[in-house]
Amino acid sequence: MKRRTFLGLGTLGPAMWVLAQLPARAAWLGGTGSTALDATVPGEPCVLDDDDADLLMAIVERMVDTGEAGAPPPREIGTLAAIEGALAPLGEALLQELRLALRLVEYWPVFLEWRFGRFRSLSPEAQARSLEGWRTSRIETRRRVFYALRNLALLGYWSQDETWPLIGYGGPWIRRPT
Amino acid sequence: MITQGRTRPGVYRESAEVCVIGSGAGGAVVAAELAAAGREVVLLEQGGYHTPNDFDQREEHMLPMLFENAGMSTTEDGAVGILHGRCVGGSTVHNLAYCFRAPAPILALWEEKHEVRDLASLQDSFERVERALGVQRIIPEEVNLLNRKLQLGAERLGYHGLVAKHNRIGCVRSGFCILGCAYGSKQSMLVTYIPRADRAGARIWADCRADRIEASAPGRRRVVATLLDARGRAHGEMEVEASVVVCCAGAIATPLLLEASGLGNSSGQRGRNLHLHPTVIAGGIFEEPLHSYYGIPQSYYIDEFIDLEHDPRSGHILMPIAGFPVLTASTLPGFGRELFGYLRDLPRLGGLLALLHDQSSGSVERGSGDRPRIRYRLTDEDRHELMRGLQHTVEVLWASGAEQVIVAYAKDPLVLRPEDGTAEIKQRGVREGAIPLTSTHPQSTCRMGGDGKTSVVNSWGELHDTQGIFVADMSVFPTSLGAPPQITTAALADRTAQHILQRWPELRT
Repeated sequence: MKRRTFLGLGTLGPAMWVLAQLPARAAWLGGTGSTALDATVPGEPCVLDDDDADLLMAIVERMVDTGEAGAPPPREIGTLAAIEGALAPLGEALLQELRLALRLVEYWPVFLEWRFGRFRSLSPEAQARSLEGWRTSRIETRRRVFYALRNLALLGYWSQDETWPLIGYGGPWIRRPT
Repeated sequence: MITQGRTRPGVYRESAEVCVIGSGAGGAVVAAELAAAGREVVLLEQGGYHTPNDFDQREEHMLPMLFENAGMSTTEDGAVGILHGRCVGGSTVHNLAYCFRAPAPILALWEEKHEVRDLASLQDSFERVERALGVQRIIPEEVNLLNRKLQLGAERLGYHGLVAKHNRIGCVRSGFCILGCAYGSKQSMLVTYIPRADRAGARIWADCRADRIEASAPGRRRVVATLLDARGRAHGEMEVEASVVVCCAGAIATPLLLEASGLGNSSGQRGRNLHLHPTVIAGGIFEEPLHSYYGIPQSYYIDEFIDLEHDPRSGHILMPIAGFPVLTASTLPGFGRELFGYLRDLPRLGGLLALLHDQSSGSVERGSGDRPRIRYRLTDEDRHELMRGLQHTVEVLWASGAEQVIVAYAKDPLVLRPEDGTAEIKQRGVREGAIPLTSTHPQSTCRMGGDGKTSVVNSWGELHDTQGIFVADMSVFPTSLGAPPQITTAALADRTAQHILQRWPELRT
């Protein structure tokens, strides 16, 4: 299997192949089988299925965690819709790589950090440590996955009006219906 | 007529005298000049057609609308982010409107070392293009607070700088240039040459990706293309028969198109010699809010560290940079609370970037799934030059009044105060992967030259190995330009268009 493409996932070789075979939602690893996505705006493109979207939002929550009491939760504002809007024109091949990347993050703690649970079942602190492992990994591909997911998270969250008071941004000069 | 392919699924056939592929600083000029001279032109653009009324100044809408891969393209190793346009008007829709002519020593280098002929004619093209784009020097009242502070800082250090020329008419100084000018003030190709081409009868197809050029018989070329829906999926076919084809898809897509067509590689140089003008950014935190994302973002630049008369192959320039929340956050280190610790100071943040006139080179070729495989590696000399550039950005920010400067090393980012000095930067250096690098100027992948053994196109942009197929975009620069490329790209395209018109009786047969 030779792939060096958007995320360069091919360099992870056998690990990626094994993880790619796993279902996105595996009850035996602590999955609840339920999703609680209410951020997708009707009429916006849906490019991820519910479970991939839920996993992505779990990662986003750690990526944009501000520690501020008044910070709007990413799932309660238009974060996912904004991310899906950016993903929509990328084409199916890139989206497939994103799905693989999500599964790598989800199952990495189980198989390569020997934790008893997937990413989503970890505590927020453990999730942050897991992501830090991706960010500082010596494996180039893991760092690329981290930054691709970070870019999506930043785009989804900090583009939302509700987050701007936290950073003192006044918003666009022109206001049009969005 | 401008047709949006996303609304027109089906199979189409066009016949024209000239087919232009790409609608940015090169393609729009070629299409307009040829159509205005009476040639029948079809222009194909992979991206969508959007007007200033569509530009809502919101990052989540504009990045996917105007940029390739929503602005998330990178080199193969992820070390250099590449921002380039994907829409009618190309990168001129999102650029920051700097207008520089190619520096004279660079043109001399192209003539002497690369045997490019008749560059004197480029002067007429510069003048035509600058008139068409309304190029003028920015007046002092238009320089925003960040740019004023950086100008003051440079002057305190004795560094040479200039207030730049721009292509804006009736600018309201909102500062949202990078997200498309909602006021139609920035004189991008979208509001200048594209309407001119349209008025002259060019048939413009947006959402139409050229897949290959068939050049089986002299004087008869066929461009095979795919119509795309709003999500970039194929939903139609297009074929254009033409006597002449002009590739203007940019330094990433043009060599890929030629590769898919089996053209332009008799020298073995197609897709090689990629230069990126890589940049490294430092972010200053000032005492008072600057709101540096409002107002013209780049009006001043510092050219103290580039001396092309002395050395036309190296150096760096310093340019202010400010961003909206998403773009700024993407340049800051870390994630979660660490990143927020920097981003919460957004109104007090102001950046300065060092842009490298790079000798380093890379390549572009088709990877798996027909997507580009972009390779690029800095030389040790260029790493050193970028490190010097980073030191200079920090020094200028301090001299401009920044209390602290963020240097976004991926591991253990630095927050430096003036008393810290820049020795730590010298010790760490600038290496791919260790600190974010960004490019908005990929160039030179189909370089121009007089020798068909070392270059892809001749002095007027025509493939050495195939008559009637031209390249007119940043691909043709024989070396790194060492300056923002918009005007040089447009002027070279104008020159190619004039050449095609002069040779038309020969080329049409």
